Amino acid sequence: MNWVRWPALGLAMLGVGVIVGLGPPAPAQPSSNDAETLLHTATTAATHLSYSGVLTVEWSDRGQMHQAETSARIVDGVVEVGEGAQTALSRGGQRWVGSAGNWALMLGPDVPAATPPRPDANWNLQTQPGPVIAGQPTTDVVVSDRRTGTARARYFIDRTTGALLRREVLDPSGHLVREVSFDQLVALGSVAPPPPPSHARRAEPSKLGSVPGGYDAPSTLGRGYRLLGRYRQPDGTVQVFYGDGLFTLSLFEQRGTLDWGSVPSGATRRVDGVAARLVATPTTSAVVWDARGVVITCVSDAPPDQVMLAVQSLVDNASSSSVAHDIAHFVLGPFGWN
Amino acid sequence: MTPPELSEDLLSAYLDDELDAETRVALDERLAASSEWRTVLAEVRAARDAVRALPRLNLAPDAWDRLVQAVAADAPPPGRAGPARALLRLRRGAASRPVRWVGAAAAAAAVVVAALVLPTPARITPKVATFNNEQSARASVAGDPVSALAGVGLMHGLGR
Repeated sequence: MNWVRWPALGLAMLGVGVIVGLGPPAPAQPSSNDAETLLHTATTAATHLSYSGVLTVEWSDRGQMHQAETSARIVDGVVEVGEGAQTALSRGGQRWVGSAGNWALMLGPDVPAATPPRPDANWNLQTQPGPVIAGQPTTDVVVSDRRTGTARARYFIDRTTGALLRREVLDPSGHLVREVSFDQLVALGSVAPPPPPSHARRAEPSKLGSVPGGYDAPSTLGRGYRLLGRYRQPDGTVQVFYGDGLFTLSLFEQRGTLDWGSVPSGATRRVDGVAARLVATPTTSAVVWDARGVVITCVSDAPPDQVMLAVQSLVDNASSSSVAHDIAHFVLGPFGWN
Repeated sequence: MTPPELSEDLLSAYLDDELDAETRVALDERLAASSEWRTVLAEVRAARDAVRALPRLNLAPDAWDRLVQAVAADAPPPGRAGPARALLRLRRGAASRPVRWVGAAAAAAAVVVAALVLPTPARITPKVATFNNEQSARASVAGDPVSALAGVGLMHGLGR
């Protein structure tokens, strides 16, 4: 714990009295306008805490709830999530996925994204007392739609450490879409963090100043998503990354036509006449469609309806300049015929 | 040698370095002496360059049909000629603008060739699981890394 960063912590400890759990305590119960500070604390808690636990992941797929368990170990800023063949390892700005002897570096430290908007730029934030999760009392940060006032996400944050213990994403009716929650939590003492992989396949993207012609990368998307970065994956896929302050979204664009038979099962959606498939994953929604010779896969941790709004805005943007019109203009233009 | 007659085909062959030495010398002399020949040569060169500058489009099988439909449906805004009107203008001006007509035919042919000859666009299998991991990795930098990365190990059944 960084005591310089958290000078109020000592006073909070006196107020709380007995501290149980992961380590040094955090400030006392905040007021509602502290929601943004709490969210920030939650995103950085892993950098100064050491704990491990069992995570339950729940998600809804076409009306059916699914559940799975995984594990997490956090030691001095190094985060290891999962086990076996598909483990994710976070260390500084680097991210690896894989397992011993078969790691892939998914993100290097030298391709950062722009700073996202503030969490309250597009959402209303409030706090209220939350339940006890994995033995820890929490504060519930409620994220609401500004138009409807409906809760769309909830972040349950450990009152004593600031660690995020549960994250819920909700549909427009307030029903659970997906959840990641600690079930068990163990404070780790003085242990060494997981070492970085000694060998890893290079799979990290490179940064692009602009996307090549034919790819879409509007500066804004949906309700408040702002373009934060453009990248090219090693296989040529163009990734465009967006954030709205709370949720993030990536467009993965590949030239070609979609092999629908290879798309994982999901719900069919039509966006302005364009067929798309909405695929539920444990922690994200993916929407796949093709248009104008480019296959686009949109992946986001936002509620599915918000992802579809982003897709809608992209399709609307793209349809304003159809490829046929572009070709006609290109062919006829040089001869003064249009 | 009989002096060559003004011919776009001849000038095109000249630009492509396809003439024999004798004809080439004769043509050089005509070009040096005639501004009309030089003008036509410039037009042939411009048309040729315009066609060659067309991108090699990786067109979908239905691209040509979509192009035709789009041209047919394209109503020009007030005061501006659309493609349909341009085609009428093309017919009227065809006699006086042979080089443009040739260029247009070549350009249209290039599109047809592109549509018919170029290989079928790649069939894409979207790597949903990989994309999920890449998005989660990126999201985990700005947000909580634990919840962002929790799904990475749970992508069974979602392909690559």
